[in-house]
Amino acid sequence: MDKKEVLYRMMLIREMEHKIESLFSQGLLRGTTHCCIGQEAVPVALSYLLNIDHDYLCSGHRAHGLSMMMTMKPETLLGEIMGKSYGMAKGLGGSQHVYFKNYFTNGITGGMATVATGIAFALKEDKGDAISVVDFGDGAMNEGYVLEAFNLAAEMKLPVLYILENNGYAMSTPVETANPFVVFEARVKGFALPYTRVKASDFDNLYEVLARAVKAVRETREPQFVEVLTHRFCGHSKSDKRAYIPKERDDYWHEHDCIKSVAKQLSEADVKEVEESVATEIDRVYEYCTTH
Amino acid sequence: METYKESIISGLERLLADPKCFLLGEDIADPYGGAYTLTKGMSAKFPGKIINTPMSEQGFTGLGVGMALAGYKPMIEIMFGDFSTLIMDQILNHASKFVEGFEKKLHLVVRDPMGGYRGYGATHSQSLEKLYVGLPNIAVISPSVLHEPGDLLVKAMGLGVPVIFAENKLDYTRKMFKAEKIADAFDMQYHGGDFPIAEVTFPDEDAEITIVSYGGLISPLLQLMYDIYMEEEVAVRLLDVSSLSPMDFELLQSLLKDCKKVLTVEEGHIPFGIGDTVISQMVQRGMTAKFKTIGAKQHIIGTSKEAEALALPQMDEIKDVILSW
Repeated sequence: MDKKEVLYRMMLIREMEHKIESLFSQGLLRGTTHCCIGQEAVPVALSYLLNIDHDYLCSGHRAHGLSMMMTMKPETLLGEIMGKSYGMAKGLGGSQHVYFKNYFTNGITGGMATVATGIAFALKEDKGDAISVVDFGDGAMNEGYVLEAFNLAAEMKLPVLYILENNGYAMSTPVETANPFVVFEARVKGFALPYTRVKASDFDNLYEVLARAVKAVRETREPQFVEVLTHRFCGHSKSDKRAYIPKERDDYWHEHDCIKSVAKQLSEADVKEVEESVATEIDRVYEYCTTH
Repeated sequence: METYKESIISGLERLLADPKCFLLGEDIADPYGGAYTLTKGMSAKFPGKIINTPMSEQGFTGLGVGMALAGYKPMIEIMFGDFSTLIMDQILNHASKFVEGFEKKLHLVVRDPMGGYRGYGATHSQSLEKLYVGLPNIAVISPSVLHEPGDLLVKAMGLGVPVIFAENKLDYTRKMFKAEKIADAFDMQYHGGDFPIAEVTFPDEDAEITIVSYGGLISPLLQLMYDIYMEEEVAVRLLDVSSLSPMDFELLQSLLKDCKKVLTVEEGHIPFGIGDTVISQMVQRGMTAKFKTIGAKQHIIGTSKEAEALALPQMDEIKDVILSW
């Protein structure tokens, strides 16, 4: 794996998200948006692990990173948010409702975990080696049909990989407040789903864990669950000032930023080169979307 | 087919012959064979395709949505239509959005047995199809003893949008109308395409009142029409709409254009019912007839016969309306 390319993908997501936030704050974009600044590791890892012509991937409202990683054409994401006909959903879906090949997102928290489980049913019947992957947040862990989906996947032994990106907050509600008597590990193991927890701070380690889970689902045709501990440096949505996030938590994750874990493996010159090519790409995408 | 139930079974079996089609629901596999024994024996006939699920309506409906998104043709059985409240998010906020948003044809039929008059009480007797009408990319189909339910079921799977297929529990015990003795007294005509409007009249009689209805009330309404004709020599005409949403209002208008009095009858609660929309659409098209709606009254559907009668439309009451109007 070319680490310069990994860094490029992570920084592309982050800088594109900064651009999108900035365009929203200037009042240049319509509607709402949910950025994933700080949560770039999972989308980038999945960009290496899935073939979206073959495998299926579902996600929810916070999916810009995945969208860019699946299409590798950021103008189709920004264009979508700008309502352009060349957007991922022809301008109909905006930030939350997009698709590309076998990749689908929707704006209802947790709902796609259920849909992805159904896709896994179909893939099991197909008797090939394609798998269904779904990425969701800690807020989804309290939606009834998500828990129903876990039970169904375990009972029917379906080839689905559940990825929980636990960023600590369901909008503004801390995980500890929403789940005072439960840790997710115990809940997931209660459904007899094989469970692994990993921090997003070390990209290589996260990649290894997800690679193992993808391989296990592909080979066993049975479900796996990976909880990724992560952090978002941006608000839940465009208007959120993050008053509920303690400074110490931000400080910890700035130190343990997933992007740093990759950048530190490269020379300063390489990092600078990546930064420059990301900046050029963001300019190109913005230019394209404002002139097309 | 001779009976409504045989017709549904035939439709299920025709669909299940497709390798991509599965039936998911509670207690549908053998030996139980479904709450209405519609799927009895099918587990052996279609191995691996009659999927017994845990009691997770939202979950297994979502399973169906995912299967449809991956190109499969799932049928979901909801044991009592009352429970279709549980699945609304998957149908409305997922499946229906994918049709247009993802430009995907979704082949997904939810079989949803509605209806009361059986003493099952407030949560096992409702007719909730009105919750799903008027929404883009959701079809609501309601068969009756006048429309072969099995044929409509097969056609519903071809629509490419999620379908609420509102069967009726009492109809499971009934013959198709053409097999009934009194059918000979009537003329029957079908108008429209795959999901027609059935028109039932008495030969050589002009009816002052036309009833517009659908579903499980069609059978008792036809008996009532027969009785009133024989006893009171009053001829009433019936239009039975099989596609509630989308509804072919143009066709309905053409069938209603010379009517003086239009009575809509439905088992679900009114106001804000199917009949209200039919009347509104006719009035907006310039129709000047007199209109009345009959439906369930604003009570929960009680369990005793008397309590049930407080809510659900009664044939005596419909007879009085017809004769005194």
